[in-house]
Amino acid sequence: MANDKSKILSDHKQVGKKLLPPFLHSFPGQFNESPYLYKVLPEIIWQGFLNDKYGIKESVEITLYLLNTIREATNLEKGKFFCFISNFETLDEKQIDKILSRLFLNGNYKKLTEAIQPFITVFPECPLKKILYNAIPEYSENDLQYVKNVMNKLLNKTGKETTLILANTIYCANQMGILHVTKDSCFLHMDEVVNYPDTEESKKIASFLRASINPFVVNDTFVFQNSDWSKYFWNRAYKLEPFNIDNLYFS
Amino acid sequence: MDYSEELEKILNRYKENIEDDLKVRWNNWEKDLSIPEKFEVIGGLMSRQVSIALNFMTCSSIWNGHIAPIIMRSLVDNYINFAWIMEEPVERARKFIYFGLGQEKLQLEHRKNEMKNHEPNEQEKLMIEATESWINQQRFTFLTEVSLKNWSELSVRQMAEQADCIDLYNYVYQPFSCAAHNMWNHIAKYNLVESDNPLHKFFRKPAIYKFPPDIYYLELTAKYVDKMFRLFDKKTNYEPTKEYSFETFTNELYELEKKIYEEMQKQKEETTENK
Repeated sequence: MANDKSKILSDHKQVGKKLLPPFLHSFPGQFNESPYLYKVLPEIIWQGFLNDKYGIKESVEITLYLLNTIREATNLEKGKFFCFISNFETLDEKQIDKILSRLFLNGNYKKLTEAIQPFITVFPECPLKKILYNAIPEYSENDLQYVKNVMNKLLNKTGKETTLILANTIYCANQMGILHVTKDSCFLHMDEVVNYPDTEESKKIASFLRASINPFVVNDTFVFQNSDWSKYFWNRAYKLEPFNIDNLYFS
Repeated sequence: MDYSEELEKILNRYKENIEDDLKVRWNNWEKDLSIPEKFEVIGGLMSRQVSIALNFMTCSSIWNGHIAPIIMRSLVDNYINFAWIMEEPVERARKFIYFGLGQEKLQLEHRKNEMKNHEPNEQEKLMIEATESWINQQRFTFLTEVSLKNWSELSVRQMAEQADCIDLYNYVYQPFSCAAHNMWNHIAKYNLVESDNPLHKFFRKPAIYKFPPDIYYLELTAKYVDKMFRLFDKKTNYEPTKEYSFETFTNELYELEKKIYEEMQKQKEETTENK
């Protein structure tokens, strides 16, 4: 039998005592990892609650209404994109007042607050609280359970629910003039994403969405990088139900 | 007199105590999920120390110079890693993880290469997929570098120096390494016997010495677990609410030894009187 074994990792480049994969040696220092769970999910999780309550179509309308209102009220530069929660930390009181005065009594705003209410009660220090009129009540067991259910679906970065909130975000980025796409981009068939993962086209779109979100979340132009939100989000979540040792043994 | 039952009780108490020591330290330690690597690596290394100790203590047939030094060496190696990481937990815990992922990727590539000559069966395919997914969950394989050096990029000696435990390296790690690596100075003493026949020029032949279980290795095991807990307590400002398990264990062993000694003395006196 012919021996087909070849040298392993032959595409890697040896630098000193390390074998670097092609990606790292071709783009040294240029490729930043953006861990989905730490960098992406906390920024866009709130849309999971919108999608869960109203479905993707209505959620996009509500989100765009919010984004346009913030832009009109604040005249902030084009880059800051308020689909990302951390950016709400950058809003000062005057800007918040302006935003709230525009949102008040609007149907979309009412829907938004109803959808994210359980989430905000569980994470009361969430920067999104700035756009809520009312004081945040204590969370109930039902709130916590609901938040856990939604989070559970969003933990999988290739899951359907995750793909849908990524679709919301990227679609809104395009609508707000933050993301430009070429005429041959699969983005133009975005509607197909609702069929994910059952069609080839939807899988292509999902890959496009996952690849497109990373440059946003690591860039201060789009997301406020000095925010404590992500850290607070995960530590608060842990404190609610710590992963303590009761029994050391597992089979 | 048979004291094995009493020894077993002491061992069982100790085992329960160190399980609790690990639990209480983990549960009381304030976590920060923005740097999970620190907590997972430190928690994992402590759990490793405890699990080696628990398993070693259940098996008296290996409390001897053939096997125990291998275990002791592993405990000390684990301690030196732990102590070095504790100096700069976040950065070094990440180094530890990335090196481990690189090694897993290397093994995976070897397995894949091995399968080039035959159609992999279902089980092999599943194994490859599971390993790939285990790595990707933590860091994409296409971003995972493979290091050909030590995980810390330092020798164990340098790590011990930096972590202020060079004595442990010199007097414990090094000697036990001879057994772990099956070196001449272990083999010649433990696996060869010298001929006393003048015709043989002190020639040696293979031998397996039979040793009775040696309690000393239990004390050493407990000592290395204790060192780890004490260092954890110092670095994390944890204040224990009870006596260290090592103290309890050595006191109980001492009491048992005293009892055995007194019993032997008594028997000796009785024999003398009878004579």
